[in-house]
Amino acid sequence: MSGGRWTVEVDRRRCIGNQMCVTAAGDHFVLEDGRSRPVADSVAPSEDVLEALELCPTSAITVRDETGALVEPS
Amino acid sequence: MTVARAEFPFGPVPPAEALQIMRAIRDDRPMTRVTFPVGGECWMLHRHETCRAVLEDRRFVRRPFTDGRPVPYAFAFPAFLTQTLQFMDPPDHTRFRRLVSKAFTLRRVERLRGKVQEVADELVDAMVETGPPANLVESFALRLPIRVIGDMLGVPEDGRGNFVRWSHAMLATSGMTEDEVTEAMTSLYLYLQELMTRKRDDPRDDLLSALVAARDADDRLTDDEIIQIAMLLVAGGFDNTANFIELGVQALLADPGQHAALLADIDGVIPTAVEEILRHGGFVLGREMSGFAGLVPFVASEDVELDGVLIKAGDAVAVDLSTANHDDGVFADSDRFDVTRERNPHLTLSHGLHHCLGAPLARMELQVGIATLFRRLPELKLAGEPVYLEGVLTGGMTDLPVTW
Repeated sequence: MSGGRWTVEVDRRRCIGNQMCVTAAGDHFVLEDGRSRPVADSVAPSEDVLEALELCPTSAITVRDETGALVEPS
Repeated sequence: MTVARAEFPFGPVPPAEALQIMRAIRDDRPMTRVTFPVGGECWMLHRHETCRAVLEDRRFVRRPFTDGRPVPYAFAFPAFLTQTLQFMDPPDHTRFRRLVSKAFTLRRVERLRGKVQEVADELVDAMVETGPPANLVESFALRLPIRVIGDMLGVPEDGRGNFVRWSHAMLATSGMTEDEVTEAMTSLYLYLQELMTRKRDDPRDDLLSALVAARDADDRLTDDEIIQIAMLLVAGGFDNTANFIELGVQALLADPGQHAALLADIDGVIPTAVEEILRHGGFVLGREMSGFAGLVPFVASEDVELDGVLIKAGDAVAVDLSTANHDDGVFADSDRFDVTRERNPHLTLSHGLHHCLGAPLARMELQVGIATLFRRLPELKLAGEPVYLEGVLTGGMTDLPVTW
Protein backbone atom coordinates (compact mmCIF):
# COMPACT_ATOMS: atom_id res chain seq x y z
CA MET A 1 0.00 0.00 0.00
CA SER A 2 1.44 3.38 -1.03
CA GLY A 3 2.95 5.69 1.56
CA GLY A 4 0.94 8.88 1.00
CA ARG A 5 -2.25 9.77 2.85
CA TRP A 6 -5.78 9.07 1.74
CA THR A 7 -8.72 11.44 1.71
CA VAL A 8 -11.97 9.78 2.81
CA GLU A 9 -15.46 11.11 2.09
CA VAL A 10 -18.96 9.80 2.71
CA ASP A 11 -21.81 11.06 0.55
CA ARG A 12 -24.46 11.45 3.23
CA ARG A 13 -27.26 11.68 0.67
CA ARG A 14 -26.40 8.21 -0.56
CA CYS A 15 -25.70 6.73 2.87
CA ILE A 16 -28.53 4.55 4.15
CA GLY A 17 -27.03 3.88 7.56
CA ASN A 18 -26.30 0.25 6.78
CA GLN A 19 -23.21 0.44 9.01
CA MET A 20 -21.01 -2.00 7.08
CA CYS A 21 -18.26 0.66 7.12
CA VAL A 22 -18.51 1.13 10.88
CA THR A 23 -18.17 -2.63 11.31
CA ALA A 24 -15.30 -3.07 8.88
CA ALA A 25 -13.40 0.06 9.92
CA GLY A 26 -14.64 1.25 13.30
CA ASP A 27 -11.58 3.48 13.76
CA HIS A 28 -12.38 5.34 10.58
CA PHE A 29 -16.16 5.70 10.40
CA VAL A 30 -18.78 6.70 12.97
CA LEU A 31 -22.52 6.91 12.81
CA GLU A 32 -23.97 10.38 13.26
CA ASP A 33 -27.75 10.90 13.13
CA GLY A 34 -28.07 7.45 11.61
CA ARG A 35 -25.56 8.05 8.79
CA SER A 36 -21.88 7.44 8.50
CA ARG A 37 -19.14 10.05 8.48
CA PRO A 38 -15.35 9.62 8.37
CA VAL A 39 -13.61 10.10 11.73
CA ALA A 40 -10.82 12.01 9.98
CA ASP A 41 -10.70 13.45 6.47
CA SER A 42 -7.13 12.32 5.99
CA VAL A 43 -5.90 8.86 6.95
CA ALA A 44 -2.93 6.59 6.43
CA PRO A 45 -3.69 3.86 3.84
CA SER A 46 -5.59 1.09 5.56
CA GLU A 47 -6.93 -2.36 4.69
CA ASP A 48 -9.96 -1.66 6.88
CA VAL A 49 -10.85 1.47 4.92
CA LEU A 50 -10.51 -0.54 1.70
CA GLU A 51 -12.88 -3.14 3.06
CA ALA A 52 -15.41 -0.47 4.09
CA LEU A 53 -15.12 1.00 0.59
CA GLU A 54 -15.82 -2.39 -0.92
CA LEU A 55 -18.69 -3.33 1.42
CA CYS A 56 -20.74 -0.14 1.23
CA PRO A 57 -23.98 -1.19 -0.50
CA THR A 58 -24.67 2.23 -2.00
CA SER A 59 -21.04 3.06 -2.88
CA ALA A 60 -21.36 6.21 -0.75
CA ILE A 61 -17.67 6.17 0.26
CA THR A 62 -14.98 7.84 -1.85
CA VAL A 63 -11.27 7.40 -1.16
CA ARG A 64 -8.55 9.36 -2.99
CA ASP A 65 -4.80 9.01 -2.76
CA GLU A 66 -2.42 11.97 -2.36
CA THR A 67 -2.50 12.65 -6.10
CA GLY A 68 -6.29 12.91 -6.04
CA ALA A 69 -6.74 9.62 -7.91
CA LEU A 70 -9.63 7.38 -6.83
CA VAL A 71 -8.65 4.38 -4.75
CA GLU A 72 -10.65 1.39 -6.04
CA PRO A 73 -11.66 -1.60 -3.95
CA SER A 74 -9.86 -4.79 -4.92
CA MET B 1 -66.50 14.39 0.42
CA THR B 2 -66.69 12.81 3.85
CA VAL B 3 -63.82 13.28 6.27
CA ALA B 4 -61.69 10.13 6.40
CA ARG B 5 -61.56 8.49 9.81
CA ALA B 6 -58.10 8.02 11.21
CA GLU B 7 -58.63 4.38 12.09
CA PHE B 8 -55.87 1.81 11.91
CA PRO B 9 -56.11 -1.01 10.89
CA PHE B 10 -58.45 -0.09 8.02
CA GLY B 11 -59.85 -1.48 4.79
CA PRO B 12 -60.02 -3.01 2.36
CA VAL B 13 -61.14 0.23 0.67
CA PRO B 14 -60.54 1.78 -2.77
CA PRO B 15 -57.02 3.26 -3.11
CA ALA B 16 -58.18 6.90 -3.11
CA GLU B 17 -59.98 6.35 0.18
CA ALA B 18 -56.98 4.47 1.64
CA LEU B 19 -54.76 7.46 0.83
CA GLN B 20 -57.18 9.80 2.65
CA ILE B 21 -57.33 7.55 5.70
CA MET B 22 -53.53 7.30 5.78
CA ARG B 23 -53.24 11.10 5.64
CA ALA B 24 -55.74 11.47 8.49
CA ILE B 25 -53.79 8.95 10.60
CA ARG B 26 -50.45 10.70 10.00
CA ASP B 27 -51.97 14.06 10.90
CA ASP B 28 -53.54 12.62 14.03
CA ARG B 29 -50.68 10.66 15.67
CA PRO B 30 -47.20 9.23 15.07
CA MET B 31 -48.14 5.63 15.89
CA THR B 32 -50.97 3.23 16.72
CA ARG B 33 -50.85 0.31 19.10
CA VAL B 34 -52.48 -2.64 17.35
CA THR B 35 -53.09 -6.25 18.30
CA PHE B 36 -52.09 -8.76 15.66
CA PRO B 37 -53.70 -12.20 15.30
CA VAL B 38 -50.22 -13.66 15.83
CA GLY B 39 -47.64 -12.27 18.28
CA GLY B 40 -49.94 -9.80 20.02
CA GLU B 41 -49.41 -6.07 20.41
CA CYS B 42 -47.21 -3.90 18.24
CA TRP B 43 -46.75 -0.15 17.71
CA MET B 44 -47.29 0.66 14.05
CA LEU B 45 -45.30 3.76 13.02
CA HIS B 46 -46.99 6.00 10.44
CA ARG B 47 -44.64 8.93 9.87
CA HIS B 48 -41.56 8.75 7.67
CA GLU B 49 -39.28 10.51 10.15
CA THR B 50 -40.27 8.21 13.03
CA CYS B 51 -39.78 5.13 10.86
CA ARG B 52 -36.34 6.23 9.75
CA ALA B 53 -35.34 7.01 13.31
CA VAL B 54 -36.29 3.50 14.45
CA LEU B 55 -34.57 1.82 11.50
CA GLU B 56 -31.39 3.73 12.38
CA ASP B 57 -31.59 3.04 16.12
CA ARG B 58 -29.71 -0.02 17.40
CA ARG B 59 -31.83 -0.10 20.57
CA PHE B 60 -34.47 -1.73 18.38
CA VAL B 61 -33.47 -5.37 17.87
CA ARG B 62 -34.77 -8.59 16.29
CA ARG B 63 -33.10 -11.20 18.47
CA PRO B 64 -36.25 -12.03 20.51
CA PHE B 65 -37.88 -13.35 17.32
CA THR B 66 -34.91 -15.62 16.56
CA ASP B 67 -35.24 -16.95 20.09
CA GLY B 68 -38.81 -17.98 19.47
CA ARG B 69 -41.03 -15.01 20.33
CA PRO B 70 -43.78 -14.97 17.70
CA VAL B 71 -43.46 -12.10 15.22
CA PRO B 72 -46.46 -9.74 15.55
CA TYR B 73 -47.95 -10.07 12.11
CA ALA B 74 -51.18 -10.68 10.26
CA PHE B 75 -50.31 -14.39 10.05
CA ALA B 76 -47.66 -16.78 11.34
CA PHE B 77 -44.36 -15.55 9.93
CA PRO B 78 -42.45 -18.20 7.91
CA ALA B 79 -40.28 -19.92 10.55
CA PHE B 80 -37.26 -20.34 8.27
CA LEU B 81 -36.88 -16.58 7.83
CA THR B 82 -36.69 -15.95 11.58
CA GLN B 83 -33.40 -17.89 11.65
CA THR B 84 -31.75 -15.84 8.89
CA LEU B 85 -29.88 -12.56 8.45
CA GLN B 86 -32.99 -10.40 8.60
CA PHE B 87 -33.59 -11.44 12.20
CA MET B 88 -30.03 -11.12 13.48
CA ASP B 89 -28.57 -8.18 15.37
CA PRO B 90 -24.93 -7.08 15.37
CA PRO B 91 -22.39 -8.53 15.76
CA ASP B 92 -23.82 -11.77 14.25
CA HIS B 93 -25.73 -9.85 11.60
CA THR B 94 -22.60 -8.10 10.44
CA ARG B 95 -20.51 -11.25 10.42
CA PHE B 96 -22.97 -13.03 8.15
CA ARG B 97 -23.91 -10.09 5.99
CA ARG B 98 -20.24 -9.37 5.26
CA LEU B 99 -19.93 -12.83 3.72
CA VAL B 100 -22.25 -11.98 0.88
CA SER B 101 -22.59 -8.21 0.79
CA LYS B 102 -19.61 -7.62 -1.51
CA ALA B 103 -21.41 -9.35 -4.34
CA PHE B 104 -24.39 -6.99 -4.18
CA THR B 105 -22.82 -3.53 -3.97
CA LEU B 106 -23.72 -0.87 -6.51
CA ARG B 107 -20.26 -1.10 -8.05
CA ARG B 108 -20.38 -4.87 -8.53
CA VAL B 109 -23.93 -4.88 -9.77
CA GLU B 110 -23.29 -2.22 -12.40
CA ARG B 111 -20.76 -4.59 -13.99
CA LEU B 112 -23.61 -7.04 -14.58
CA ARG B 113 -25.90 -4.54 -16.33
CA GLY B 114 -24.77 -5.46 -19.85
CA LYS B 115 -25.30 -9.17 -19.21
CA VAL B 116 -28.75 -8.55 -17.70
CA GLN B 117 -29.65 -6.48 -20.76
CA GLU B 118 -28.67 -9.42 -22.99
CA VAL B 119 -30.86 -11.79 -21.00
CA ALA B 120 -33.81 -9.35 -21.11
CA ASP B 121 -33.44 -9.00 -24.89
CA GLU B 122 -33.25 -12.77 -25.35
CA LEU B 123 -36.43 -13.23 -23.35
CA VAL B 124 -38.29 -10.61 -25.40
CA ASP B 125 -36.93 -12.22 -28.61
CA ALA B 126 -38.51 -15.49 -27.50
CA MET B 127 -41.82 -13.78 -26.69
CA VAL B 128 -41.86 -12.13 -30.12
CA GLU B 129 -41.03 -15.39 -31.85
CA THR B 130 -43.86 -17.25 -30.12
CA GLY B 131 -46.17 -14.29 -30.68
CA PRO B 132 -48.85 -12.76 -28.47
CA PRO B 133 -50.57 -13.30 -26.10
CA ALA B 134 -48.15 -14.29 -23.35
CA ASN B 135 -48.15 -14.84 -19.62
CA LEU B 136 -45.64 -12.19 -18.58
CA VAL B 137 -44.93 -13.95 -15.28
CA GLU B 138 -43.71 -17.15 -16.94
CA SER B 139 -42.17 -15.67 -20.06
CA PHE B 140 -40.30 -12.75 -18.54
CA ALA B 141 -40.84 -11.53 -14.97
CA LEU B 142 -39.65 -14.73 -13.27
CA ARG B 143 -37.17 -15.80 -15.89
CA LEU B 144 -35.04 -12.67 -15.85
CA PRO B 145 -34.21 -12.61 -12.10
CA ILE B 146 -33.90 -16.42 -11.92
CA ARG B 147 -31.31 -16.37 -14.71
CA VAL B 148 -29.45 -13.53 -12.98
CA ILE B 149 -29.39 -14.95 -9.43
CA GLY B 150 -28.80 -18.47 -10.78
CA ASP B 151 -25.69 -17.23 -12.60
CA MET B 152 -24.49 -15.23 -9.60
CA LEU B 153 -24.88 -18.16 -7.23
CA GLY B 154 -23.57 -20.69 -9.72
CA VAL B 155 -26.65 -22.90 -9.74
CA PRO B 156 -26.94 -25.01 -12.90
CA GLU B 157 -30.14 -25.25 -14.95
CA ASP B 158 -31.41 -28.41 -13.23
CA GLY B 159 -31.60 -26.56 -9.91
CA ARG B 160 -33.20 -23.41 -11.27
CA GLY B 161 -36.23 -25.35 -12.39
CA ASN B 162 -37.11 -25.81 -8.72
CA PHE B 163 -36.46 -22.22 -7.58
CA VAL B 164 -40.13 -21.20 -7.58
CA ARG B 165 -41.25 -24.26 -5.62
CA TRP B 166 -38.43 -23.88 -3.08
CA SER B 167 -38.95 -20.17 -2.65
CA HIS B 168 -42.70 -20.54 -2.14
CA ALA B 169 -42.08 -23.12 0.57
CA MET B 170 -39.66 -20.82 2.40
CA LEU B 171 -42.08 -17.89 2.17
CA ALA B 172 -45.32 -19.83 2.70
CA THR B 173 -47.85 -18.30 5.07
CA SER B 174 -50.78 -20.60 4.28
CA GLY B 175 -51.96 -23.17 1.77
CA MET B 176 -49.07 -25.58 2.38
CA THR B 177 -48.99 -28.16 5.15
CA GLU B 178 -46.03 -28.24 7.49
CA ASP B 179 -44.95 -31.51 5.86
CA GLU B 180 -45.05 -29.98 2.39
CA VAL B 181 -42.95 -27.01 3.54
CA THR B 182 -40.46 -29.32 5.25
CA GLU B 183 -40.24 -31.58 2.22
CA ALA B 184 -39.52 -28.69 -0.16
CA MET B 185 -37.00 -27.08 2.16
CA THR B 186 -35.20 -30.35 2.79
CA SER B 187 -34.94 -30.88 -0.92
CA LEU B 188 -33.41 -27.39 -1.34
CA TYR B 189 -31.06 -27.99 1.60
CA LEU B 190 -29.81 -31.29 0.19
CA TYR B 191 -29.48 -29.83 -3.28
CA LEU B 192 -27.34 -26.93 -2.03
CA GLN B 193 -25.31 -29.21 0.21
CA GLU B 194 -24.43 -31.45 -2.69
CA LEU B 195 -23.75 -28.52 -5.02
CA MET B 196 -21.51 -26.80 -2.48
CA THR B 197 -19.53 -30.00 -1.94
CA ARG B 198 -18.89 -30.07 -5.67
CA LYS B 199 -17.79 -26.41 -5.56
CA ARG B 200 -15.35 -27.18 -2.78
CA ASP B 201 -13.58 -29.60 -5.14
CA ASP B 202 -14.03 -27.47 -8.22
CA PRO B 203 -14.45 -23.79 -7.27
CA ARG B 204 -15.86 -21.38 -9.83
CA ASP B 205 -16.20 -17.62 -9.96
CA ASP B 206 -19.58 -17.60 -8.24
CA LEU B 207 -21.18 -16.82 -4.90
CA LEU B 208 -21.63 -20.42 -3.70
CA SER B 209 -17.93 -21.10 -4.29
CA ALA B 210 -17.13 -17.89 -2.39
CA LEU B 211 -19.31 -19.04 0.52
CA VAL B 212 -17.59 -22.41 0.61
CA ALA B 213 -14.20 -20.67 0.61
CA ALA B 214 -15.33 -18.34 3.40
CA ARG B 215 -16.45 -21.33 5.46
CA ASP B 216 -13.11 -23.03 5.00
CA ALA B 217 -11.25 -19.86 5.99
CA ASP B 218 -13.29 -19.19 9.14
CA ASP B 219 -13.74 -21.88 11.80
CA ARG B 220 -16.62 -20.00 13.40
CA LEU B 221 -18.82 -20.73 10.41
CA THR B 222 -20.56 -24.07 10.07
CA ASP B 223 -21.69 -25.83 6.89
CA ASP B 224 -25.23 -25.45 8.15
CA GLU B 225 -24.89 -21.65 8.45
CA ILE B 226 -23.44 -21.39 4.97
CA ILE B 227 -26.30 -23.41 3.49
CA GLN B 228 -28.84 -21.25 5.36
CA ILE B 229 -27.38 -18.13 3.75
CA ALA B 230 -27.50 -19.77 0.34
CA MET B 231 -31.14 -20.69 0.98
CA LEU B 232 -31.92 -17.08 1.88
CA LEU B 233 -30.31 -15.90 -1.34
CA VAL B 234 -32.57 -18.26 -3.28
CA ALA B 235 -35.67 -17.15 -1.33
CA GLY B 236 -34.91 -13.46 -1.67
CA GLY B 237 -33.06 -13.55 -4.95
CA PHE B 238 -35.82 -13.43 -7.51
CA ASP B 239 -39.39 -13.48 -6.31
CA ASN B 240 -39.73 -9.88 -5.08
CA THR B 241 -37.93 -8.72 -8.20
CA ALA B 242 -40.40 -10.64 -10.37
CA ASN B 243 -43.32 -9.20 -8.39
CA PHE B 244 -42.16 -5.64 -8.92
CA ILE B 245 -41.57 -6.19 -12.65
CA GLU B 246 -45.20 -7.36 -12.84
CA LEU B 247 -46.45 -4.51 -10.66
CA GLY B 248 -44.45 -1.96 -12.66
CA VAL B 249 -45.90 -3.11 -15.97
CA GLN B 250 -49.44 -3.12 -14.54
CA ALA B 251 -49.08 0.31 -12.92
CA LEU B 252 -47.65 1.92 -16.05
CA LEU B 253 -50.37 0.42 -18.24
CA ALA B 254 -53.01 1.63 -15.76
CA ASP B 255 -51.88 5.27 -15.98
CA PRO B 256 -51.77 6.50 -19.62
CA GLY B 257 -50.14 9.83 -18.72
CA GLN B 258 -47.26 8.23 -16.85
CA HIS B 259 -46.98 5.46 -19.46
CA ALA B 260 -46.53 8.17 -22.12
CA ALA B 261 -43.99 10.00 -19.94
CA LEU B 262 -41.91 6.82 -19.76
CA LEU B 263 -42.16 6.03 -23.49
CA ALA B 264 -41.05 9.59 -24.35
CA ASP B 265 -37.66 9.03 -22.70
CA ILE B 266 -37.30 5.47 -21.46
CA ASP B 267 -33.62 5.56 -20.51
CA GLY B 268 -33.94 8.97 -18.87
CA VAL B 269 -37.06 8.15 -16.87
CA ILE B 270 -36.60 4.49 -15.91
CA PRO B 271 -34.49 5.09 -12.76
CA THR B 272 -37.08 7.38 -11.16
CA ALA B 273 -39.96 5.28 -12.52
CA VAL B 274 -38.64 2.19 -10.71
CA GLU B 275 -38.41 4.09 -7.41
CA GLU B 276 -41.97 5.34 -7.87
CA ILE B 277 -43.21 1.81 -8.61
CA LEU B 278 -41.55 0.67 -5.38
CA ARG B 279 -43.16 3.53 -3.43
CA HIS B 280 -46.64 3.76 -4.89
CA GLY B 281 -47.18 1.16 -7.65
CA GLY B 282 -49.74 -0.82 -5.68
CA PHE B 283 -52.06 2.20 -5.44
CA VAL B 284 -52.40 2.64 -9.20
CA LEU B 285 -54.13 -0.63 -10.04
CA GLY B 286 -57.56 0.11 -8.60
CA ARG B 287 -57.37 -2.91 -6.29
CA GLU B 288 -58.72 -2.30 -2.82
CA MET B 289 -56.08 -1.53 -0.21
CA SER B 290 -55.85 -2.28 3.50
CA GLY B 291 -53.80 -0.79 6.29
CA PHE B 292 -52.65 -3.56 8.56
CA ALA B 293 -49.18 -5.09 8.61
CA GLY B 294 -45.97 -3.42 7.49
CA LEU B 295 -42.28 -4.21 7.50
CA VAL B 296 -40.91 -6.86 9.87
CA PRO B 297 -41.17 -5.63 13.50
CA PHE B 298 -38.39 -4.87 15.97
CA VAL B 299 -38.36 -5.13 19.76
CA ALA B 300 -37.23 -2.25 22.01
CA SER B 301 -34.25 -3.48 24.07
CA GLU B 302 -34.78 -0.64 26.59
CA ASP B 303 -37.31 2.15 27.23
CA VAL B 304 -37.19 4.58 24.30
CA GLU B 305 -39.12 7.80 23.88
CA LEU B 306 -40.26 8.15 20.30
CA ASP B 307 -42.14 11.21 19.06
CA GLY B 308 -43.36 11.89 22.59
CA VAL B 309 -44.53 8.29 23.15
CA LEU B 310 -42.80 6.01 25.64
CA ILE B 311 -41.94 2.68 24.01
CA LYS B 312 -41.29 0.27 26.86
CA ALA B 313 -38.48 -2.29 26.82
CA GLY B 314 -39.94 -5.43 25.23
CA ASP B 315 -42.54 -3.56 23.15
CA ALA B 316 -42.69 -4.43 19.45
CA VAL B 317 -42.62 -1.67 16.81
CA ALA B 318 -43.02 -1.86 13.04
CA VAL B 319 -43.01 0.47 10.05
CA ASP B 320 -46.46 1.02 8.51
CA LEU B 321 -44.85 1.11 5.08
CA SER B 322 -47.69 2.45 2.93
CA THR B 323 -48.51 5.32 5.27
CA ALA B 324 -44.86 6.32 5.73
CA ASN B 325 -44.29 6.13 1.96
CA HIS B 326 -47.00 8.77 1.44
CA ASP B 327 -45.85 11.24 4.11
CA ASP B 328 -46.60 14.68 2.67
CA GLY B 329 -43.68 16.20 4.55
CA VAL B 330 -41.32 14.06 2.46
CA PHE B 331 -43.10 13.23 -0.81
CA ALA B 332 -44.50 16.17 -2.80
CA ASP B 333 -48.05 15.51 -4.05
CA SER B 334 -47.77 12.10 -2.42
CA ASP B 335 -51.03 10.61 -3.77
CA ARG B 336 -49.84 11.04 -7.35
CA PHE B 337 -48.05 8.35 -9.39
CA ASP B 338 -45.15 10.38 -10.79
CA VAL B 339 -42.52 8.44 -12.73
CA THR B 340 -40.21 11.48 -12.76
CA ARG B 341 -40.42 12.12 -8.98
CA GLU B 342 -37.07 13.58 -7.94
CA ARG B 343 -37.03 13.15 -4.17
CA ASN B 344 -38.17 9.65 -3.33
CA PRO B 345 -36.63 8.23 -0.15
CA HIS B 346 -39.27 5.47 0.17
CA LEU B 347 -38.78 2.73 2.73
CA THR B 348 -39.95 -0.19 0.61
CA LEU B 349 -36.48 -1.77 0.69
CA SER B 350 -36.17 -0.75 4.35
CA HIS B 351 -33.35 1.42 5.66
CA GLY B 352 -30.38 1.15 8.00
CA LEU B 353 -28.96 -2.16 9.16
CA HIS B 354 -31.58 -4.32 7.47
CA HIS B 355 -31.81 -2.36 4.23
CA CYS B 356 -32.37 -4.96 1.52
CA LEU B 357 -29.11 -6.76 0.79
CA GLY B 358 -30.05 -7.19 -2.86
CA ALA B 359 -31.35 -3.65 -3.37
CA PRO B 360 -28.75 -2.52 -5.95
CA LEU B 361 -29.26 -5.75 -7.93
CA ALA B 362 -33.05 -5.59 -7.71
CA ARG B 363 -33.07 -1.94 -8.82
CA MET B 364 -30.86 -2.67 -11.80
CA GLU B 365 -32.93 -5.69 -12.85
CA LEU B 366 -36.15 -3.68 -12.53
CA GLN B 367 -34.70 -0.85 -14.59
CA VAL B 368 -33.39 -3.13 -17.33
CA GLY B 369 -36.42 -5.44 -17.28
CA ILE B 370 -39.18 -2.84 -17.41
CA ALA B 371 -37.31 -0.56 -19.82
CA THR B 372 -36.65 -3.45 -22.20
CA LEU B 373 -40.29 -4.55 -22.23
CA PHE B 374 -41.57 -1.07 -23.07
CA ARG B 375 -38.80 -0.30 -25.56
CA ARG B 376 -39.12 -3.55 -27.47
CA LEU B 377 -42.90 -3.88 -27.15
CA PRO B 378 -44.25 -0.31 -27.23
CA GLU B 379 -47.78 -1.61 -27.87
CA LEU B 380 -47.69 -3.81 -24.76
CA LYS B 381 -51.09 -4.07 -23.06
CA LEU B 382 -53.01 -6.30 -20.69
CA ALA B 383 -54.92 -9.17 -22.31
CA GLY B 384 -56.98 -10.42 -19.37
CA GLU B 385 -57.28 -10.55 -15.63
CA PRO B 386 -54.15 -11.29 -13.61
CA VAL B 387 -54.19 -14.32 -11.32
CA TYR B 388 -52.77 -13.48 -7.90
CA LEU B 389 -50.90 -15.93 -5.72
CA GLU B 390 -52.25 -16.64 -2.24
CA GLY B 391 -50.42 -17.84 0.85
CA VAL B 392 -46.94 -16.53 0.03
CA LEU B 393 -45.42 -13.77 2.18
CA THR B 394 -44.26 -11.70 -0.75
CA GLY B 395 -47.46 -12.01 -2.80
CA GLY B 396 -47.00 -11.97 -6.54
CA MET B 397 -48.97 -13.67 -9.27
CA THR B 398 -49.08 -16.75 -11.44
CA ASP B 399 -50.55 -15.20 -14.57
CA LEU B 400 -50.33 -11.73 -16.09
CA PRO B 401 -51.80 -12.04 -19.60
CA VAL B 402 -50.34 -9.49 -22.03
CA THR B 403 -50.41 -8.84 -25.74
CA TRP B 404 -48.64 -6.33 -28.07
